[in-house]
Amino acid sequence: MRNLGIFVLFVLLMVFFAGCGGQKEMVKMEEKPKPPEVTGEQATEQPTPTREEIIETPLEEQLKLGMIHFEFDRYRLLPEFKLVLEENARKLKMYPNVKIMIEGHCDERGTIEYNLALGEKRARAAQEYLINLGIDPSRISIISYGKESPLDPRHNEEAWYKNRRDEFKITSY
Amino acid sequence: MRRDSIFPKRLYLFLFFCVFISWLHVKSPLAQTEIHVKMPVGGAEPMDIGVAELVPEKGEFSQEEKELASQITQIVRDDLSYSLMFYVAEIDSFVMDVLEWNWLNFDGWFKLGMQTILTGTFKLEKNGLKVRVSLFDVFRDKKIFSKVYRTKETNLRGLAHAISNDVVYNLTGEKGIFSGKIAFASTREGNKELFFCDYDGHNVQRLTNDQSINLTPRFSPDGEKLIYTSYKEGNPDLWILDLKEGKNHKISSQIGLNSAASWSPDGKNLALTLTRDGNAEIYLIDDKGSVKKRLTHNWSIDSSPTWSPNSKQIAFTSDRAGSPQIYIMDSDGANLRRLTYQLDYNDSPVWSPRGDKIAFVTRTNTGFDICTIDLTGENLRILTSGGNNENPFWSPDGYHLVFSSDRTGEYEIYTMNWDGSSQKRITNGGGNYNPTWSSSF
Repeated sequence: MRNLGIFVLFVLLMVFFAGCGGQKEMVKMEEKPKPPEVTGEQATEQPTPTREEIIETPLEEQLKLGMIHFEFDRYRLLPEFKLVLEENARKLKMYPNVKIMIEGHCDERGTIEYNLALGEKRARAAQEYLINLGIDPSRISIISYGKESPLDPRHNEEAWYKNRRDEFKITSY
Repeated sequence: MRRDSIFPKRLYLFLFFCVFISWLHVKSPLAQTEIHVKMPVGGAEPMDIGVAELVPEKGEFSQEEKELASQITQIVRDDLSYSLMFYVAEIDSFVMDVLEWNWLNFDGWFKLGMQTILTGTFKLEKNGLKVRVSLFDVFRDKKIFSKVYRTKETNLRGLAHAISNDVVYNLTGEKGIFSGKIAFASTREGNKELFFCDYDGHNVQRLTNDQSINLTPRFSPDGEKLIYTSYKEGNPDLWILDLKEGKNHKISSQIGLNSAASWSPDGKNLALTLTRDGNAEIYLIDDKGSVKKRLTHNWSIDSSPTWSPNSKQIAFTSDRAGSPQIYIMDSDGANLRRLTYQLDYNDSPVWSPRGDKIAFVTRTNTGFDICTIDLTGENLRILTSGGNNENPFWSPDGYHLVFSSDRTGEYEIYTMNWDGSSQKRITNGGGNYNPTWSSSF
């Protein structure tokens, strides 16, 4: 009985995720340290967007500026995320009117005040890297949310990894 | 240091009396007579005080009066016991009846081991509560003070705390902490707003409705204002809330962080973290937000300033040595020294109002814990264990700490004694962070 219950729950979850795995959700999925075929499968299940949907899709989702992650209590850019930043820089050059805000975030460990400062260091690290790649400094502002705005509310390594991040938000275009 | 298990001889005598009385009578007064034994603080020996039940001003109590009187008596007993300055003996009218004593039988009280006796009367009036209390010095056979308190019925706890404050002040010369407030940030209503409550967790009130993220509240030295960081207008700016008028306004909105602000005890300056020059550094500003001085110059995170009680020094966190550690400097930035060497991640320093210790948070194998250390760098004590224990702040008298902990799975506010004993949760419902404590309101 118990096994059957779990199986039914599993099937329901599968149906649920297949139904509502929107674009924004996928962006998050891509950055997870997970096997890539998961996102691949979901992508094939996505219906082809209509013309109206493309027009209504916010620029943020069209641009899909990739999120980057950090080590615990560190703000240095890891090699794999330098590649993400280079891709982001390429997209920003394609849309020269777009201005962005880089949000620096931390995991829940450590104090509120220290994490505010650490989050700003993380945002600034990405800002400087983009400037070095030729993006005009006036197009990039930064803000730190410290540990106040986690992506994943759980208290484990996976959640902490997700939450130590820079997000790239479009402020004007 | 601790002497939990050592009863003063006089209390044994008192216990003996109680047993004797229970033998005389069917009803056991022992069940109603509790003896709290306290460790001494700051070298001072706790005082034996008998706190008698409030009796009717005239005639007999109505049922309602009886309940109110008993609530007030219990709050006063709890306050005095919490203060660590007293051994509180709870004397009820039953004991008095059996002994056929009146309150002025000092010889009898002396034999019971009481140094002081607090007695009082209660009356429920049309427009509120009326209590008259008298405090007697048993050794010297004299009245120390006598005072009438009147208040609305809704402020019963406030009245009881006022009595406790007067007892502490008259017997020790120190200001009682019972009318102070503990402010904290809470997500109980969705956004992270500021709230405050009494030291014992009662009377919770919401202070802000900014629909934003509000962080790191700190009281002004007079307890009438609260400074805090808010994302209300997008950037993390420093705001000030006037608690009497209920109005807030922005005082520092430099580009980047305006965070972790702390008011100097002399009221002249605010120390805070700004990142306007490209890195988290500590600055002094006035209460209008004008920058007076930059205190740190180091390409690392410098944050969380806390003032010495005489406003002459500032302790803060810096990761200039590779991990966060506590440093101390003069309030002009000179004479920098490192305080903590023993643990590898130390943050959130708060300077004791008594001046001799700094409490902070350290990272351990299991999470975060609250520690204290002497200003000499000696006597490191870890006071908590289990879950994450963060954001310590001292009580105004320096005998207690308030902090947040997720030991139950949710973040709640707790208080404890300076040595880590008597850890007590004062909030519920989860999502409570960042407590701070004022001396009065």
